[in-house]
Amino acid sequence: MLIKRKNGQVQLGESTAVIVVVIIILFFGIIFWNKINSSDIQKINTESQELSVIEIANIVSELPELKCYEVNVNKIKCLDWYKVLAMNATVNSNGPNYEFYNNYFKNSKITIRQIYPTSVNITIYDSKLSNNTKTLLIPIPVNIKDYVHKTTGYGLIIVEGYYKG
Amino acid sequence: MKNASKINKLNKKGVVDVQFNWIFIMITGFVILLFIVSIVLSQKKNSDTQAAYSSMNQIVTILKGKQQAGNVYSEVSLPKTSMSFRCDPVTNYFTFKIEDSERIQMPLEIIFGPRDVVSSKVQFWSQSFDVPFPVTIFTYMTTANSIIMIYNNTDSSNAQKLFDDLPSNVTKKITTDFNVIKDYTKYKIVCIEGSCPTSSISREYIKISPAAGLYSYGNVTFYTKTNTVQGTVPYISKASLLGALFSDNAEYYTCQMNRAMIQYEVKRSLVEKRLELLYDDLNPGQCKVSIDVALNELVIPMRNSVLSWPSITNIYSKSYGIDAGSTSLTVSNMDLTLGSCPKIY
Repeated sequence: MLIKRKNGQVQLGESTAVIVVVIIILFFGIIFWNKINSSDIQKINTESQELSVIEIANIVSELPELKCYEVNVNKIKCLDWYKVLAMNATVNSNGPNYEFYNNYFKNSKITIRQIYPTSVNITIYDSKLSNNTKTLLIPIPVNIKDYVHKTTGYGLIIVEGYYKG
Repeated sequence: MKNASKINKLNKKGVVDVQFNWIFIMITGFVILLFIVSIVLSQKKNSDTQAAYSSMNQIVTILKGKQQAGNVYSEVSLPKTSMSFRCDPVTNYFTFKIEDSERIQMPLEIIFGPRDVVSSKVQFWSQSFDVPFPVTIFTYMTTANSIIMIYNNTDSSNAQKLFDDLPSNVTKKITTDFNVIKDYTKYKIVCIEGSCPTSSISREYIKISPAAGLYSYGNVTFYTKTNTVQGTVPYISKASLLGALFSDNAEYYTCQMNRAMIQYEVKRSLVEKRLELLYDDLNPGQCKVSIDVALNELVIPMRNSVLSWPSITNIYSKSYGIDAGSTSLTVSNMDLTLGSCPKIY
């Protein structure tokens, strides 16, 4: 009788051990699964944020509000200096125009840097974010036309995209 | 007796052990099954979300791409998908949803089309909205199972012009025979004032009443099936008129036009600021005078034309203001070019 009783206890112990092991395996499985999922999501998130900065850079160089009014067949984009100045004066303050361009430029800072004939930096949009950890900087070479003095200079559109890395 | 009761007790314990084992196995099995089911369900949910996301991306890419260029036609073929577009007349928020996905806001895109679309093929067409400086690109959306019927009972040249200007890929007919719409799930009957049905047609239709040329400005009246007026709304320029043609109803059209006019004011203010800066830097002479006239007599007065898209009570004054300003700006811009001066836009 005692042997039978011991056998029963051993069986119960085995079952419990199996269940405990299975639960531990399941637990680790869930942790592993979550880690893979969250790292994938983070990777996709970073990629899409980087892509959105590139998208902003493309938008800036194609905006009719900044482009020269001649039909340009050159590979280098052309900006109208007075459109740049007008945008600096009307967008770079928290008014309705800033709100409108926030839909285009989101968390970024856009600077037009004239290199020649004079060196000038004009910021046309700045979301002024300070707590973000990373920035992606994209410079695009451009011609800059001054229709009053009838000169063509050159410079860069500098797009700084802020994002959480 | 004592021994018999002891044996009985031990047997019962054995039975309890065996039952307990089975209960353990069942619980474990259930937990494992639950885990597998949850993985399968989460994978299904993920793949559904991914499918909706990729469809949405495809549509959004096309819609955003349309923002870059006017007069471009494109089609998207998808598995039969339901899409809904909503424009809130109070907040002017425009949102888009595909199947059961999250509604996404489209703050810049101006899209005229049906509010709800269930189709495997969606057609997009775009037109630049210029007054005369570029404001934005309007996107028009329709489906392969929709038709635009231009009703023309007087050989109106405007009706023919409107028909010719619609893209050939869109299903369109110019006729007085209503049987042509029978095979389509959605239809839009359009007529120009003077060549519209004279009696009730028991179908929804829109009537265009140009105030000047067809594409300058005027108003569009939306009629219900019972021939009552659902709404009369103003239009300005070709792009805006086509917007009314593709819109489901007067409210949706007005909401999109309100959003367009917010963009108009932003772009107009940039033109105004640029002219001020040009005026400050130009030497005294003809160019400075012309820029001053353009600024003070055309661009600044156009500011007051559209604080909001005009209601029918002031349609003519406001639409006329934009239309007249737009025409004069085009002429001034040409004059400035001929005088080798900086252009207005």
